[in-house]
Amino acid sequence: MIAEIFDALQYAFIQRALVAGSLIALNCSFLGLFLVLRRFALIGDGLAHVAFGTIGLGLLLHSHPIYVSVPLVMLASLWILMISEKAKIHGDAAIGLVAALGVATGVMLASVGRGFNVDLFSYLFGSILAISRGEVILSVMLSLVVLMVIVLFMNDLFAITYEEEYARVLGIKTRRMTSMLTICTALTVVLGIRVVGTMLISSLLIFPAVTALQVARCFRTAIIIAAASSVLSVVFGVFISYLFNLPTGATIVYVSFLLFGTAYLCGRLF
Amino acid sequence: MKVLEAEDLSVKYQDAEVLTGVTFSTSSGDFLGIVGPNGSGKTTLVRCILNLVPAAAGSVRLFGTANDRFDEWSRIGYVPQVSDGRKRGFPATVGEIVATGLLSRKRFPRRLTRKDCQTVDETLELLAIQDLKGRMIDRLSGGQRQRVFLARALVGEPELLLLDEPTAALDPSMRDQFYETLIAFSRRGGTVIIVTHDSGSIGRYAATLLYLDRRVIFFGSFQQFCRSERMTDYFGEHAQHLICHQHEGGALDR
Repeated sequence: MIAEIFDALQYAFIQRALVAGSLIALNCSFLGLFLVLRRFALIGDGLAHVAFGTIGLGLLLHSHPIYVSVPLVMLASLWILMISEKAKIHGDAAIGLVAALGVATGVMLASVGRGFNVDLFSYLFGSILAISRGEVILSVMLSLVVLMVIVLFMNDLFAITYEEEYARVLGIKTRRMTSMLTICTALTVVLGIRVVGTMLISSLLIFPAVTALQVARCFRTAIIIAAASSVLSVVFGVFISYLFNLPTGATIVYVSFLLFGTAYLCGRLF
Repeated sequence: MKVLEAEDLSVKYQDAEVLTGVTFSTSSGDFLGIVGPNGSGKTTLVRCILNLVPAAAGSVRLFGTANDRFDEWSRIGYVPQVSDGRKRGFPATVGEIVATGLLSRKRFPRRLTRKDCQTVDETLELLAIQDLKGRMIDRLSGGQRQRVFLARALVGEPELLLLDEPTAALDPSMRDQFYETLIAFSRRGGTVIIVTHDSGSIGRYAATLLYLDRRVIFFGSFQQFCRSERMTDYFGEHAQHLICHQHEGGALDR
């Protein structure tokens, strides 16, 4: 089996999948920890639904779906924040509302532009092994931007996540930070769709965070565990799916669940 | 020097006026107790001072600057009302939480240095909670957590300390210790503003009283409060002298 894994590593598509997948997973783990602790984890799911609609639009316009999705999903993320503040709708309801509109748009566009349904539905469950060189370069660049933003604002995000009102008294621009976190999530969700698909992207955000929360006793450890478990999920997921000819996105989710279960048991035992 | 000036301050939640025409001020070294019954607007007043809720009318000045333009947040230490439940399982140690109190002194990218860690250690030592540093904040008792939040407010060496019901979870001996720290801070020239519903004991520690019931019922020293006939009419003689704490160990000396 080890020989087969080394064989797999010779393939450019496996290399691309590992590089892009690991970086996107790393972003998801950092963002997911903040989102889960702020009870805002389902925004990933909501934005993925929006991305379903924007991918449909991209296919209809014969443009690359990712290029169309990045700006539109970022705008949708800000819209979720705006309606949850201004329209006095709770975050979960705002996410549900925008997500439903996203899916409705996708279905509507699929109906109008007959012929690309197969392409559109391939985005539902991801196709990381089919990721192109251009997509890898875009994913790596955008992931590094998101990573840099998170690292630079780590202390601000930590303060806001623990106690938003107190963070304001520290002089932290909490609203701006929340918008930034949401935009970074939007960007990561769009990139992550290639890894696990719109249906499963929230797992990349939620699983590493909840895995870390089972065992971490300080924030630094939580970040490290979340990052490690997300990268391990993608790496193992890619190899297992290659070796046993399984769907990669679903395999990544199963590995994530396995790591969560292990962390849960460790948290109870120690 | 005036540290805080509130003038004709009113706050509304939707259409209901929660505070009406509140005017008071504090100077360096003052120890002000804000007292009032439940729902009297004490927490709202503190939050309005910190520009966390907008004023419907009137103004607040912090160190001479309108609070909506104020940006020298390192001059203020804040201990918010304890709100448990929301942060269950939060993976943070006491050391990490106290260190966030230093962020107001930092500019982008707000990195914490080795010296900052020493400052955190010194503050924890000052409050005799050094042993809690590595403990998870979630696993502390209410009283321990309050002392941690006081450490977080003090670590940045502020000039004004605003505390909202900080002694609610403390037992009497811990409460005395808590107030001693505040008195020491005040003696060093710091200003303390503390919100409490414990009108019976605040007079033992604070020098000035603001009694609030959606508007200012009384603002002045405890001696003035003790001698105020208006307060006798408002509270009755017994309650007035329970609050004033001017007659410790003896009969009323009016």
